Amino acid sequence: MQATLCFGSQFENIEIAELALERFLEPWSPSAEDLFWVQSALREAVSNAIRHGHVGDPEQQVRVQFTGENSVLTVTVADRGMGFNPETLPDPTDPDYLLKSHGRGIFCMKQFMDRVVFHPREGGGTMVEMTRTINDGNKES
Amino acid sequence: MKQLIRDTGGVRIISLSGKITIGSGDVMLRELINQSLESGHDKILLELGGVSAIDSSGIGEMVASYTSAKNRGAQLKLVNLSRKINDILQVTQLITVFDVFETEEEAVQSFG
Repeated sequence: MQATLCFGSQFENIEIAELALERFLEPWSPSAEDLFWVQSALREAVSNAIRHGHVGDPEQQVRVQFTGENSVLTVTVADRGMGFNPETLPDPTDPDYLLKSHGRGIFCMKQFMDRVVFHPREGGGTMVEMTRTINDGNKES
Repeated sequence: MKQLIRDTGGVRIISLSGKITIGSGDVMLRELINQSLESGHDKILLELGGVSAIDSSGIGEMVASYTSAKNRGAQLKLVNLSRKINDILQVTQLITVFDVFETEEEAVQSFG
């Protein structure tokens, strides 16, 4: 099961991506918990693509893909930005950074998902690949 | 994001509902806190019971508001967090920064 979504690099479109993810997961009857965290991670990834990748250029396109296989959801978000090295990002829970007003997006994505990997894209840009096992909400007590 | 502002016992209570996320709620939150500080309110309580989602931008604005208040000698506290928002504050370790209360009464009394 797979779906791809391309949209202009504008914050208003984040809601559309979140809604598309909810629709994509409907056949799996995801638990409210899983849906909340994957939508939150998606929001962070798309925000990063718009704000840092495309530096607010609305003419650029963000490409989002959802893949579902054996209860594992994979979400990729790709931009055409300058790229970056995620290893160089400071830990936002470090006391020196705790009161900073930014720098928590990727940290949150890693907390919300089982696995988060960044890939440089051929031709420029970054693709983040995030996976999480989705629990059937109907089977939860 | 929607807001309801009340003043009780010298405490400005700002009740928020909806999403505090990039491009909308985050900016509104900053403006609400700045307006309160500029109008002389030094005890501010953010009531978050109606907040359905918050992202890193919203969290960043909460931290900036906290710092802004502290730098002016004012206090910013939180009350009525949903479990998920509480989880986010836990993983980001910001739960150690903010004074968080379960009830409004308890929170208002804490300002002294």
